Amino acid sequence: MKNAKILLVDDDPDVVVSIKAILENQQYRVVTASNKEEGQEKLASEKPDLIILDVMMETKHDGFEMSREIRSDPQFDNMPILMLTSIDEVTGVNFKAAMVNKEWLPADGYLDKPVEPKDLLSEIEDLLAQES
Amino acid sequence: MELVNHTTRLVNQAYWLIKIRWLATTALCLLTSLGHIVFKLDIRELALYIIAIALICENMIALLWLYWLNRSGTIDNRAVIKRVIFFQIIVDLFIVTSLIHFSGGIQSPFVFFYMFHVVLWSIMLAMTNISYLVASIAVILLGSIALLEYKEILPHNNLPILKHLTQTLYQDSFYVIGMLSVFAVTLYFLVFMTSMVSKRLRRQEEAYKEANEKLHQKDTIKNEYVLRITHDIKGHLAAINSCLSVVTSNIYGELDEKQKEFVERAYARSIQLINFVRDLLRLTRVRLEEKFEKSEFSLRQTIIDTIENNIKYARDNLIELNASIDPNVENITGNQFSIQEVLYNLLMNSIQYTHPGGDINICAKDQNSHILIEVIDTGVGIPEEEQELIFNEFYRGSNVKKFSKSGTGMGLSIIKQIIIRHGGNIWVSSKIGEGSTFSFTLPKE
Repeated sequence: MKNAKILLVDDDPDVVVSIKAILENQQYRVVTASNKEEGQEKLASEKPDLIILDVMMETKHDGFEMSREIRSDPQFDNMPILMLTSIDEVTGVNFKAAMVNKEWLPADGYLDKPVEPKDLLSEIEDLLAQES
Repeated sequence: MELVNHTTRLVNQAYWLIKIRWLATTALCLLTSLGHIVFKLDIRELALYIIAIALICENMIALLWLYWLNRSGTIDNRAVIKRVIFFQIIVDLFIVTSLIHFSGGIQSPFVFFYMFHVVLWSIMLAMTNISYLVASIAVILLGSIALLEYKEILPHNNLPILKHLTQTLYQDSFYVIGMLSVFAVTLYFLVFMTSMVSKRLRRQEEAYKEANEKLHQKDTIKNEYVLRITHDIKGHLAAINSCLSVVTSNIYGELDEKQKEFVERAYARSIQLINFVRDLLRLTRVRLEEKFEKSEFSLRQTIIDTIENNIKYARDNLIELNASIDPNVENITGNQFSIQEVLYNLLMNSIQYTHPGGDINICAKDQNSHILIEVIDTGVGIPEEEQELIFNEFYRGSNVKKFSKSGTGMGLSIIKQIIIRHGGNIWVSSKIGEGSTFSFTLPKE
């Protein structure tokens, strides 16, 4: 699904610009946000096809909360959420194990930062293919 | 060293007293029957057998009491256990007194038996007042026997061996008073000394315990510090790596040959450093976890999955991968994710250090309470003097560097931490040029 619109929420500007470059190179349309509030605004106004979410932004729980809020909103309950983070090393949350519990951590994919461009792209492709 | 909780120790001591008493009862019965049946000595065998029965009764009462405490769940109550021990010591004092009466009263060599109780009490409870009380009861009991026999209110029994020598000593007031005084002084002095020594030991133990706790706290603080810093470093590294990946992906145009080479070098090094930081984070995280979340899972399936996931990688390296799992190896209780990590990392190591054409076997054996898992390869092997060291952090075998420059030296430390946290053990046996066997145990429960 080329041309898909992706919302990238991460508070690290260097990560944002580089991932944006990689995605745009593959003809994805990329919208970025640097915190939870901005992310929510963009989510409502841009209606993306997929969201890439950094779990640990300013506070530890921003990404968690946002993913839960997205899932509880009926207009986004089918939108794939890709978690992009290294939170398990600090909080002890084992993401791969936690993924099973969709209520607790409603994400469809999880990649550990930093992620190789080809891994990121193939994960996005998979998630978008599942959705359509 | 594990520090045993005071109450648990008291409970153990209560049982220990019972065990000792069984031995004493057996010895008493044997000696009495030897005396009057084999040697035909003129002893009060009936009284001695009754004493043995009294000992048996005392043991039964103490056992029932402990059993009842166990069932009612009050076994952890220190005061209650003290009562059980106090009961045993007081009853013992009376039994010893009757034994002394039937074996010669104040002339009996068994007067020394009182010392056991005084010493035991002083060591076990370190309550000096009660120890003096026990000593006083012993002195009063022996004094009463001596007085009653002296006044001929109680009949005097002689030990047959002493018959010809000292028949009338119990009638000698000097002997009786002298003996009692020396006895009392010895007993009180004994209480004084044992209490002092055991108090000192207890204080030392407390100090060690406290120091150990402080050390543990400091270690936790250090680990949290390492965790925080490494996490921050990793954030920056991830950003650097991410930016470099844009360049290496040629998104904004091709670089010339030289530019490309240097950027790729930097990119490769950033990945190496990230792997290092990732391992350090994982190791610190395992250390910090007070308790693993454990659940029941199929170890058999976990081993099979690990092999299936890596069989292609092994074949690509022309390595044969086999498994032999005992039929009894099934479910265990543990952290499945961590055990998977252990198996995966050991297997990866073996594949990495085994030449094409070699083979790797994973064996799982049932050993009653444990499962023994072995990863056996025909790889390069580990020099004997390094086999102990390879589980240390940052240690890399001298002969592995030519295989892989990028190892972090933390993989085996992480594995060891995980196994230890599961209550298992890990070791290696290896011969240079022939291969290595990494073995580890995991408790089933």
